Amino acid sequence: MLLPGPAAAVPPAAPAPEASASAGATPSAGATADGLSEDAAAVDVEVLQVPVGAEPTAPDDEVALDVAVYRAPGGTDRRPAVLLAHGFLSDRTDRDAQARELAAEGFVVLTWSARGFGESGGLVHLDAPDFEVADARALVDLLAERRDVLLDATGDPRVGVAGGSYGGALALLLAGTDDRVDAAAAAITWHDLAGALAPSAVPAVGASTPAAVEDTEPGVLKRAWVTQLAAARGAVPVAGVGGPGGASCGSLAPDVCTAYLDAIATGEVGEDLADLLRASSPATVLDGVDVPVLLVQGQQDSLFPLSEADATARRLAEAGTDVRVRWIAGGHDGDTSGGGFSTAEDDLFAFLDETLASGDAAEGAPGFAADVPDDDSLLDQALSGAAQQPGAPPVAGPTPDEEDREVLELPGYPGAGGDAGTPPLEVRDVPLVGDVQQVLSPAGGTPSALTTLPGAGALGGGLAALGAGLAVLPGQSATFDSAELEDDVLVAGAPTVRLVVTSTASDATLFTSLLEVPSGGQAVLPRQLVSPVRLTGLVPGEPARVDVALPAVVHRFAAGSTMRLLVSSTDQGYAVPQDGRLYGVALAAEDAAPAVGVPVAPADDVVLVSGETEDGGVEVPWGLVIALGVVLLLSALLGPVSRRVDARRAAPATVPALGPGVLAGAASLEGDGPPPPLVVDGLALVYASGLRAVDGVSFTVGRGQVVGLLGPNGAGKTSTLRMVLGLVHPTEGRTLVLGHEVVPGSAVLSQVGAFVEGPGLLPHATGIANLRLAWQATGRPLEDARIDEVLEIAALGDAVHRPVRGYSQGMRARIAIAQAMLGLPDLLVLDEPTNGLDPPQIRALRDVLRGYASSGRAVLVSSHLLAEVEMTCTHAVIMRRGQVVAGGSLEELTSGGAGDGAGGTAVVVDDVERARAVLSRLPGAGVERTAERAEPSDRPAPGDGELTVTGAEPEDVVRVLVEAGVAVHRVAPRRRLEEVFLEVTGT
Amino acid sequence: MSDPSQQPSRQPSPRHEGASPGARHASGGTDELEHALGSAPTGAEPGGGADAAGARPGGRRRGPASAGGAQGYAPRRTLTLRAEAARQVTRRRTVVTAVLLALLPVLLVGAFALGDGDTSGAPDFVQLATEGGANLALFTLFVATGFLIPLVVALLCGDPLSSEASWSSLRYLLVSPVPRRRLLRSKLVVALVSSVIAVAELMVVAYLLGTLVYGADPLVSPGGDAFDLGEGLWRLGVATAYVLVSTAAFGGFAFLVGTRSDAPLAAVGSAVLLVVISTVLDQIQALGDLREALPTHFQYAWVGLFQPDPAWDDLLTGSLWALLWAVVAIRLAFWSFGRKDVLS
Repeated sequence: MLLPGPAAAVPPAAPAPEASASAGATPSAGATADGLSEDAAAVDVEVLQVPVGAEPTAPDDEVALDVAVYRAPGGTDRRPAVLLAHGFLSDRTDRDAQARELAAEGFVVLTWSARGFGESGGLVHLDAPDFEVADARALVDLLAERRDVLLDATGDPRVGVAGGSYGGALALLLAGTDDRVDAAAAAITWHDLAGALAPSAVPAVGASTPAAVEDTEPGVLKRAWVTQLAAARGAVPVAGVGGPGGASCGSLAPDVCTAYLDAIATGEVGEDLADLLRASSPATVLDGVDVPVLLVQGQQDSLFPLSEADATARRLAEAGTDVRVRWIAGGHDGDTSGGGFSTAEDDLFAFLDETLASGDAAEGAPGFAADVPDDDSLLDQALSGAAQQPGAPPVAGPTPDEEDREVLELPGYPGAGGDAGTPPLEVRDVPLVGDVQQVLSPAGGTPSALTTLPGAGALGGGLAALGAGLAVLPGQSATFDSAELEDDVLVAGAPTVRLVVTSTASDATLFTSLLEVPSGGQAVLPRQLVSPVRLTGLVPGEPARVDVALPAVVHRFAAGSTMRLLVSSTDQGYAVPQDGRLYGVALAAEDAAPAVGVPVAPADDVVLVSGETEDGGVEVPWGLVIALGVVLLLSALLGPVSRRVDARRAAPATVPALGPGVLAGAASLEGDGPPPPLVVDGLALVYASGLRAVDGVSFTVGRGQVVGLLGPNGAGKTSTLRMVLGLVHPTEGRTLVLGHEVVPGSAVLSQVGAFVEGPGLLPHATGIANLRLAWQATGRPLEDARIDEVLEIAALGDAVHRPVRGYSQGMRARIAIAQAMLGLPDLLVLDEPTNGLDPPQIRALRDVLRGYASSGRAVLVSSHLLAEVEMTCTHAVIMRRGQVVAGGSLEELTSGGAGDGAGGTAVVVDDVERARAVLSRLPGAGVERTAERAEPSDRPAPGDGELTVTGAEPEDVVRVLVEAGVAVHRVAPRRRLEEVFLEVTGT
Repeated sequence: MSDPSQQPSRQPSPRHEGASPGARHASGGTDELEHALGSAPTGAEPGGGADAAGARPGGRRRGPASAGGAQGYAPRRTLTLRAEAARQVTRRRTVVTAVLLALLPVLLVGAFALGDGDTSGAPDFVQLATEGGANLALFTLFVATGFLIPLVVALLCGDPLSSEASWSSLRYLLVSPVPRRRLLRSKLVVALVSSVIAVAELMVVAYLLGTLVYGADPLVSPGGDAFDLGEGLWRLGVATAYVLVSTAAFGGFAFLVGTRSDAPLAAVGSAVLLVVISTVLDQIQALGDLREALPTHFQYAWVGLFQPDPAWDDLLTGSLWALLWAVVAIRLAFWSFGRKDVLS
């Protein structure tokens, strides 16, 4: 009677469409469900409709079962088969995942929806021998006819049957009534359904198994469970309907329905129902079971407690049948995953493999294993589960599967199988004290103690968190305490105690349980279980002795805590007497001191089983590790390769092979002299659009020269400078500084100071800090920086100690020019340095640059101020549309070509002062000393000088000079640079 | 007029004159310079000396990129980590970031003090935050993991290069010359170290402040597990280290964008955008295992450290993914910056 637990809560896969018996493999809709291995997902699924016996209410209508057969693809071999039965309230799709895993292990697996469930026809008969069990036999027939199923004999397939709850009872019933079954595994199911639904728990006489409980009649109806189960199949008591009103029975068979509703109404199990339930109980057929049996029972199960499996195991062991028992932590009140097998699912697989396929006993598999629950972790789970809020970041809490768990392992089921078997557990008597106590059973049965809610798997922990508070109602309970325990006591089974009960009526209904009371803590009711006992035939007022069996649990009572026997008169889950009465409850103390007898598990047999990470350590994602390794390796390899490519582009240029396009300074390249500071050789920059921004620019900057780079806007001046500095990769050509080709990051750039396209300063740093930081980046010794000297040039005064962000444009320009001059590099490249400077500063800069070049260094300066260039530079290169259109010394530029005299006449004379005096007497003539621009070597003799005379004809000038006795070395027409510029740039 | 570029220059080439007398041009304010220039070519005569000699025929001993450097210049000494740190440390954004990170725990403590103490919600990080110093640090890490730490790391990694570009100082660094590879290396190392320092600062301040306010109590995890202080701090340290490693993907991405953009905002903003997009994609269940590759997918995997048996699997997977992305992004950054034309 498996209720939808956590696993079953997943919507079942849609049943495959109707298919005839001869249908081929049909992929199931559930194939991609999470958590399946690849093998399991690849299993072939065949969906069949199997006709079985008709319902007595409709004898003519054939009932068809919805059946699915799972088989791993490949091979035509015959394989052992497994029938997988589902629980109450579900259908065959619930077993889909398990069926796939089993099929992947090499079984042919058959799942089906029992009659009255899922897509199958018919009504629910509660595993009745003539219906559900007969159906299962028909399925064994079906397997016997299949060509892929291993046969033991003709018509006798090698088949095991497994199921949980409703399906578990079916497994045992089938194994007991069909000799062809070779193994049976039953989880969380009943032994005697009548006793299980209406128990009265007293110790089984003569039995020594740990949970030997006998259910005497009449018992106490589990009203909450019965109501819930009946209602779940659509059977509800309808007022005014005495009999089985068709609509009020749902899919329950009429006889079952009537008996159920009757029981719910009266609180008693009537004879009819008792007969029905008995017929559906494995207890009646156990004598016929002679195949290996695996019994899995849940500790957290108020419906079918451990004592049910105990009774089955005891009976089977007495008959010499091979039986293994597992007490798992789950159950109907907790974890019902894996069809009820829960944590014992691996045991199920091993069991089926051993009994049906290999025949090898699984290594080290014990005959009996019981999970030892960790109460703390249960509590934590409950709390953290409640704490998880929607939308909150994922909090990776520990999941039960991943944690180590303690397991009690014994070679066989203790106390079963006579002398040859595993000896029974030690029963320890723990003395209890307590006077006679009055217990009221209120009229109408309310208020009731609240212990567990039927099937409330998810809430089970939550109730545990409440402690035993609601289980103990004042006036309705009696308690008897032990002394503090000296050691931990691991109780494994059903404790027993002898009570003396007096009732004001002729009967008594009591609920007993054994609580743990930690020192100074709240009492804990293990697994929230209580055990009902019903006494009848009492004489009011007369004490009666009764032995009661307390709930079978596996629970560790910690040292220092006390055991508390709780006897109460009500429980929410049970039907209690409706008339009010008063009980007197005392411990029986005739023979010995009153005590509770607890079965104690030997501590030595408790082993620690590690969880999912059984292989120890961490699962290393090797794919990722390899990917990371490959990426790192590629990076390491690509580095040198790309460096080599860069190096090839920067082939050594020791003897520049310059073409004819060289301007100034070519001679020095041919000779043995030191290479010139800058040689620009055929530089071109072509944009992706095809625009040639710079197109074959060549020129040379020699030592001592101040070269002006002129051109209209867009002529390519700045692009050329960028390429010169290695900031932009030239499309063609190259740049040599001091004979070394410039590539990005060339060391020779350390000999170059640059000011390109405005200053680049750290706004948060002061002027002087900017200079220091800039120098620091070069890694050169601080004493080579000449910071004090370049600061003189910047002439910023105290402003150098203010952050740069407060500077004016001119101040920024000056600090940036100073930065370019740091270390007094051999070549200074300045781009529009006069921007933002006022006339005195421009004049000062002019002097600085000329002085700089005259010390043997060189300056390349771009500007659009022609007058400024004329006064500052020794040479000029004029660009237009990316090409050099004119170049040479300023003298050449201004004197060459056909002068019209407007620019005046230049004369080089031996006595400048005298010449000036003579010429000034010419009418209308203006005389001016030409700016120093030529190299000293150009002069024939010291004291010589050049004068520019305007407003007079050249012949007059020469005549006057000669008349005055001044030696004239050279006479040339002089033009303004502006004139030249406009002429060559065509504007 | 004929094109002068087609004619060999008639001008005799200037010879190497060394310190030629420049007194003739001396005027007013440039005396000092003249003096300086006159004495400049002491160790390294312009054009002369060993460097120039190395450039002559037969002098090919050094590679072309390293030849011809000024005296005292060596590519290996350019833009040292110290120099780069000096460029960054006085910046306002550095100071503001440091102050904000130190303020966050203070804000948290203040918020807890102002709150009405209603912890009816759940025993999670929030409720446990006031258990002690270690728990406040744990909570701080929890709230900072999702966005704050990626943001700070993206800022510290994406900003240094793009801000140099926006100040135009990048080109001056390059013509210093700082080799491009070296420039990136220094910037990256300083960015990573400062990221570590920033997150460490946040955690240390949170721990110290929490200890001061709530006491040095053992660390309590949301699962109810208590770790003694040594154990708790050890796990906190590992968790912090993991957060840093998992954020490396964002740091690397911001760094890559920083090499391509002149706007610091673009570098940081695109990394933040990546966080958002990754978070959004991570919500799409249909992507299945593909989501593991998302840089935010394993962001909170460190939470698995705070259970008795630490869950290392996700931590390992998350770290590997993050490192993979970071290495790819950084490698791309080096590759692209080495070929870039620096126009800014």
